[in-house]
Amino acid sequence: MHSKLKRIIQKVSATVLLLITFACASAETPLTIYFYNPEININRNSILKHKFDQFLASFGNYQFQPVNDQATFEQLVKNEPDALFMMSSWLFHSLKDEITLQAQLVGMKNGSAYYKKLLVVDKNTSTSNITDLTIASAGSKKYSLAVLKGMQSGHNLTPANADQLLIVPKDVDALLAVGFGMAQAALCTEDSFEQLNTLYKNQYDQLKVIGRSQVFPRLTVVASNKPSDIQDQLLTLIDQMSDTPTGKIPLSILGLDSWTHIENAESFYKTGFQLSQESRGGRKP
Amino acid sequence: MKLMQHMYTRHKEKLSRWAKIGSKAILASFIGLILISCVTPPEKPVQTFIASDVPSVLVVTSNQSVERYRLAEDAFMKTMHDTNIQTINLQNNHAPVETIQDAMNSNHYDVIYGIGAKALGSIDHIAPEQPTVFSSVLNWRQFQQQPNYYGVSSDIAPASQLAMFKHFFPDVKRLTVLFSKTNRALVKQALKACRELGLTLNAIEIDTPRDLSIYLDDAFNNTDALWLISDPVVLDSTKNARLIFNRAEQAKRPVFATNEFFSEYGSTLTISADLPTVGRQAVIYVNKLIKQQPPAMKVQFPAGSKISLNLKKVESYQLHLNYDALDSVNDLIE
Repeated sequence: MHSKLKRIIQKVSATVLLLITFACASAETPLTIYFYNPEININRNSILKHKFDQFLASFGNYQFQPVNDQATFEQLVKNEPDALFMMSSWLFHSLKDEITLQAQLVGMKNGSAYYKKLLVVDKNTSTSNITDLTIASAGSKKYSLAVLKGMQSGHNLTPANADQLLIVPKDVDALLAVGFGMAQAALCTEDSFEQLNTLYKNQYDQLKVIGRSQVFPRLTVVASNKPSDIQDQLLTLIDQMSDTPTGKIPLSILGLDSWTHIENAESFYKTGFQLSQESRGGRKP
Repeated sequence: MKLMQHMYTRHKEKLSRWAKIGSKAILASFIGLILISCVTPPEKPVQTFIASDVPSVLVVTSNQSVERYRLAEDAFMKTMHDTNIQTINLQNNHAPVETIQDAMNSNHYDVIYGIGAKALGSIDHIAPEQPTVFSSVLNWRQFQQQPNYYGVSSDIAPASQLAMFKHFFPDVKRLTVLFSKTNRALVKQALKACRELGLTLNAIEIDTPRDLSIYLDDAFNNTDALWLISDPVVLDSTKNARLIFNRAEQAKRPVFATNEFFSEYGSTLTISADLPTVGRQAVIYVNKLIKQQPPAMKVQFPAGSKISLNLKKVESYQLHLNYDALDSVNDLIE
């Protein structure tokens, strides 16, 4: 009885494995865009995936896959040469010596492919004890500390203790946290700070800038330095997202208006991006 | 054809071998699971991670199975380090005071972090002098008199909410809020913020839940949106909540709410506290108390917001949405 049952289990297992093997072989693997951005903390991976997949669905077998942690994302960057990667330029720059991938597209906002980070404090904050302040930031701890360390300022802006960083979902939260006393300083983009001026002038007027970062390129799409035809098609689709209503929404969720080509990737490492004047030249979907 | 048959036979042989191994592994795992379940003791309400010569913190959670408590606790545990942490889950605990007392008798704690009203109420019962941090407590005002209690309130600052409304819907200039005397101070702050933001706030105070239907028509006259705050009189029942949303739908006016719960009822924009940020704020409080540096503010607003936007309502009410604000959204309802 026992051996009969064993044989049945074996046959069922063999059939299931066979079916799985055939199913895997027959299903075409979609081309994936992996996404990770340590510059923002807002938890919205599900809507990003939903809106990107909705946009991509009508063009082919593509999918968007946000990744939650940096280590997993870095493994994917190193081990999935066929995929595309959407990541912060800061992260790409930190990985550039370990990978052969190349920056292909960069995000645009208000006509610029660059952004700066600012450290802002309440106007009445003394600059003598800056390293003791609680700093609200929407970036990951690692990213925020790196940006603070590289800031140009007359003061040392690196917190005495990493626990002084209060990680919040987005820049506007960081700025309002200073206004309402939950933090004494905010690390935010120049764009967000200027947006506060339009949105809530009284709060804006209470703040002052005490540190400025170098200029960073915005969110970057990275792929093989010799993209295959299908990768090239997907890059073109991403490049033209701003032309369609279904593409505009995921772009807005990313905080971008459009994408533009990086014409000379070599100079990306040395002198920054050289941007194409014709952002949509070359590729057609 | 022969080649295919050969490949199929070889493939089948391989699979059969894997299946043998697989079935043995499944059987072994199954037996293993049964054995583990026999020897694993039942879950204890108290979990201890004690090491010596480092500060100790007791975390008391009203109910770890409730997401709003769990998210704050998880973020706290992930962010807090170089500290001994003991946790108590009061879920299904009918003697919470005794459980906390037992923990306090067996260890010294520099700070207690209480999550939820049951946790804070129990801590207050036995340790009113103990440095304590709290979050997710709606009635936190009743603990304000305790000299060593610090915490994070449940709702986002009124001015932050109003600023976000303006950010998403720049054409919405006139808001109405219904409130009772409990929220007079909040409405006063909101009126000041509205003046700063260039908004108009029509504030209607009601005395009893019965008055709601009388004032609702007024609420939707000459207004662009209703701001629904957590008010115990206005929202005293599900019936009242439904009445508000039905009237809003009839009047084609959006409701901006402060609790995610109202997304289901049809709020156009919901701005609530981001709970992992609340847990991280608690870490900052706890660290200050460990260092015996009393925080400047006894109670803070949540520093992070979670935003849900209903695009169906935006379309239905023909609202002008600022697409730049979408980079702040956590959930889109379509």
